[in-house]
Amino acid sequence: MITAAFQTAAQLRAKTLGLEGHPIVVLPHPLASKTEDEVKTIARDLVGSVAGGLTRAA
Amino acid sequence: MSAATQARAARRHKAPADFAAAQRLFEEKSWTDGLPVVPPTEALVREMLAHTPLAPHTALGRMEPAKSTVTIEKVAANAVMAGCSPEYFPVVVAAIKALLQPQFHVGSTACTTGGAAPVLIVSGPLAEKLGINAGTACFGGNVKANATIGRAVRLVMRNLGGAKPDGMEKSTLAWPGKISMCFSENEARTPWEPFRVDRGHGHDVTTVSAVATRGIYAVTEGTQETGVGVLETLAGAMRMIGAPVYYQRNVPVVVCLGPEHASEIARSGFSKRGVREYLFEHCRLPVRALRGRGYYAPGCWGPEVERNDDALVPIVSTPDHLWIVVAGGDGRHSAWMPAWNVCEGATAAVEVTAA
Repeated sequence: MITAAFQTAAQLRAKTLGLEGHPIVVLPHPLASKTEDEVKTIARDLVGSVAGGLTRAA
Repeated sequence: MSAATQARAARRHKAPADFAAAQRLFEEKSWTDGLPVVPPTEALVREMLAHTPLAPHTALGRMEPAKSTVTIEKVAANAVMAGCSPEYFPVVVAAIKALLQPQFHVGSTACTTGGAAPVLIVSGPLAEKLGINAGTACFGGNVKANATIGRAVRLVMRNLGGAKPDGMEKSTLAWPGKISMCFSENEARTPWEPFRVDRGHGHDVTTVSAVATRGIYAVTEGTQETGVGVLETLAGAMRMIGAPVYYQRNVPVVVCLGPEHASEIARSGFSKRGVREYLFEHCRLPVRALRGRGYYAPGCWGPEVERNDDALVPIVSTPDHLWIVVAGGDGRHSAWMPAWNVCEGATAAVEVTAA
């Protein structure tokens, strides 16, 4: 999981580690200044994507 | 990869003979920091390699975050590009060895939004011999050795480590140390033992110490008449909110004393250890001022401290994390440079070829 500002960096890092195409869930940026309720809303919206990434066949 | 293993030769590229066309190639390949570079021809790289006892294909390690293998030959090519004179090359190699030590955290330095860049501090007899500026304006300008050694290290981080703003480098602002930041200790005007001795090395060797910082915090004290007065002002300047300190247990803070300040402090009876202990005792902020601000980390000092609004948190976790270096020319100015977040700093000795 990564915020949008770091998406390119995350993709490059995955490639460096030999994990090109590794599923990456992208969160809105910035995250640090969001309220707890806003973070919970983002979590509810993205939990399916996280589960999908974790259970996807390699 | 363990240090000093052998790796393959660097890939060769064809570059146009025309200077402007060659520069365009380097820019298109994103191999430069924005300034023109010297094309690293085979002949120029060979001249560089003649100044190190290490074989060209010796691998020093892998440079994070891109994990490229760092060979002596590749470092030499980047040193040529940076404009280094060949005799500077052993210093560049030592700096790279320092960056590759795990406690330096070169990958985090390259990627952080905090904008950290390595500050290189050279200490030892080679510094003067090579003309690395320790005096007037030593942090920038005028001197080829300072400018090009620092730049060579940054080009290695860029071209082998992948520290490029269109990729994994994510500095919010960065600072000009991202181009180059290298200076020497002003040993002739140091009233105490040289910095390399603090770092565990002997008087006869030359060392490069590297620490990633976000910039230089300048401190002026031109009124006080005693060394204690200078230290009071310095400690006052370092008691600040928003610098990446007070909640980073293992990182150093570089305190660069101008020679006049250092002399005044020494005349007041302070040894270098005394300076460290004074600053450790006086660079403290109460928990109430730090809580919920900056890089507040409630677990850092334990619950007893965190529950106590009046508890005083030190800038570093031990006096030894205060790196005291005398540098610069005339004038009553000093500077402090807090290390970035996880960078613990590292030191490597310079190895030269037998005379």
